[in-house]
Amino acid sequence: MSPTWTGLFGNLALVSVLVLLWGFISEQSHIIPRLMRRIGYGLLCGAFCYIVIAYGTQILPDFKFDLRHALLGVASYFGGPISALIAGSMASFARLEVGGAGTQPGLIGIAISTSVGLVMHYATRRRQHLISSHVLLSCALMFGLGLSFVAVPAELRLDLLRSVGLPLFGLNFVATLVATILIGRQLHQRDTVQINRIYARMVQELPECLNAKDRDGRFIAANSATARLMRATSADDLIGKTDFDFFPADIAEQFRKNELDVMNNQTSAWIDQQVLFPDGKLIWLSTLKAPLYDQSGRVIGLITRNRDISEQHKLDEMKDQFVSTINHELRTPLTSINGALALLAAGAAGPLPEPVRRLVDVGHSNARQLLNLINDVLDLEKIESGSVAFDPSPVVLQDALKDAAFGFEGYLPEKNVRLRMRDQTGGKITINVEPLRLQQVLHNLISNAIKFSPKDSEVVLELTRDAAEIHLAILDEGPGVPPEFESRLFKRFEQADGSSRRRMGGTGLGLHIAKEIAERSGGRIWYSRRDGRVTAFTLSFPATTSKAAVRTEHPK
Amino acid sequence: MLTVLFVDDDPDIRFIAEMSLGFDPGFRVRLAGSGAEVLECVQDEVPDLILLDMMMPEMDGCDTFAALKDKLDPMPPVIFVTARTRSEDVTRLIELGAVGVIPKPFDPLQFAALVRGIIG
Repeated sequence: MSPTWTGLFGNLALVSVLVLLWGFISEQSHIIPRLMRRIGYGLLCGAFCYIVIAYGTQILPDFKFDLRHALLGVASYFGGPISALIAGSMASFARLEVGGAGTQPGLIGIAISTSVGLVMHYATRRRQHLISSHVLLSCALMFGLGLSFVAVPAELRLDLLRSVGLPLFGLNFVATLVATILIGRQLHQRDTVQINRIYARMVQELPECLNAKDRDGRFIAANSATARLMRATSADDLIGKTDFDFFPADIAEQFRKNELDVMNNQTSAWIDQQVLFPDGKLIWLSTLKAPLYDQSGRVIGLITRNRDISEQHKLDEMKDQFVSTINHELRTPLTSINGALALLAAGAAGPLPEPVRRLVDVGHSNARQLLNLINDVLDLEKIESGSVAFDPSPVVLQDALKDAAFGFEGYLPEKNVRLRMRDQTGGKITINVEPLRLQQVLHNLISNAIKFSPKDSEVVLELTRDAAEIHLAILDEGPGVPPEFESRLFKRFEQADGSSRRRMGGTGLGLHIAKEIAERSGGRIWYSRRDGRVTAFTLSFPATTSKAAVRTEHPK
Repeated sequence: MLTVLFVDDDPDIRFIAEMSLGFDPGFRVRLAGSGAEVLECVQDEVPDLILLDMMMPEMDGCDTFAALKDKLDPMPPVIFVTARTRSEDVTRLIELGAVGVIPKPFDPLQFAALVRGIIG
């Protein structure tokens, strides 16, 4: 082996020491500020350059061959301009001290390597941990090293290249690659540790209980909220234990069964459960369980999130209680007021003089209005809070429309509005809805239609279907909805004309309730105007969402 | 002539019910303000029909109904008058043995006819 090879291999050993020391500085990131670290990297690489230049094997009288290019490249690539400046200066100083005919090309080489590293530093700022960046840097450095040979006197150039070219380029390349990969990995690891620390801290402080278990149900990680919930002394106390260490066997068994389901089916599970804790406390838990995978996608356990929703449950109960109380307490006096006024108005206490009768009418109609409002508000509350069960059952729409129409016989007789069915579906249509709620919506739409119809006109109950939907439209010849009001039509407490509230006795909640019911039944409700003279409120139910839900029976 | 016992803790509603039921000349109306009063009342005379309010302090409609069942044989028909008219509530009351449920607030002009309709 030629002395060049031997000398350069010696340099390579130094590079490994450099990586070690670099890692040492980089790990102190929490006590040494960044600027100081960069100065440190510069000094470190500068010192190593000094060693390899000043004490490296001298093969030819005026020339020095070593791994300074790798060292300088690494310093500026990772350390930026400050490290580059320091390391570059120290290397130049060392080269000047050695002197000789090779000084000029040597200094040029130092300048080129430092610059190449610096360019790569900025070019790959956020991607310094990628192997491809490292390879690119190594190649660029070798190109720079080649360029520095231009400064060597022409008659020496070929001889020099022939004798030291291979080890010089080869080992500089290898040294750069090895050093960058190792340092890159260190940095990556440092970042990972830091990110992990941040995540761990976030999870620790989360008020929700988070934990992870292995396949056998042993805790492998938990936050402090979990420890508090389990009445464990600390999160560390949980590690390695199972639910069987904290709960009676039957409860732990149930948990285990849920967890096995999650791991075997590889699906997440939401469970709202009431759990009796060992200290006798009964707690409502909202639980999410999801499988935990390793890199190859194999299930290695599961993660669990628990939230104590006891308070929420208590609030819900209190609200139900409150609504029920309000219901009773408001209705009772109104029942009396309404009843008394109705009896008075009907002449149960004898005939009334005209002004008294009018006053009683005012009182009576307003009391009725108030009662309607309370009914609507309570209704809406029940629907929106989800406390109304929507138990769908098959309803024949034709029959439902007939039932709804039947209820309007004798309604507002002075208007003389006729109800007419127009069925264009050619067969009985059955859909799955909650029958009483459908009636409620139909009742609301039909009474609106009649209220706003002109005298002696017609309200049409129309049934049609297209490929996508079944439409149930209530048509009237009334004035319709002013265009500027259309967007607010189905919002609560909105009425096109404030005075109509008094005149028509509406509460401004009817259409909003109808919309809520329609949507909760899987349909929609919408308004349109036909030919500029017919007002249509349409209930549409999807015809295709499920074959079981919609069925057309053709008459035999 | 049918004797109808109307039970409600609210005196105003008792008064209105008395007047409303009075529209039917075939009804003789008696009133009671609590479950205890009902039990006292039926000792003198067993009514032909009992209209029972659900929400009353101390003994509610169900308690009163149960106490009457223990005491009377045969039991006169009972109609509940209640603000709780969700279908499951109504079903529960019918299962308990009521012959009907009239929702509160009732229309005083229709009340008597409604009661007639239920007892047939």
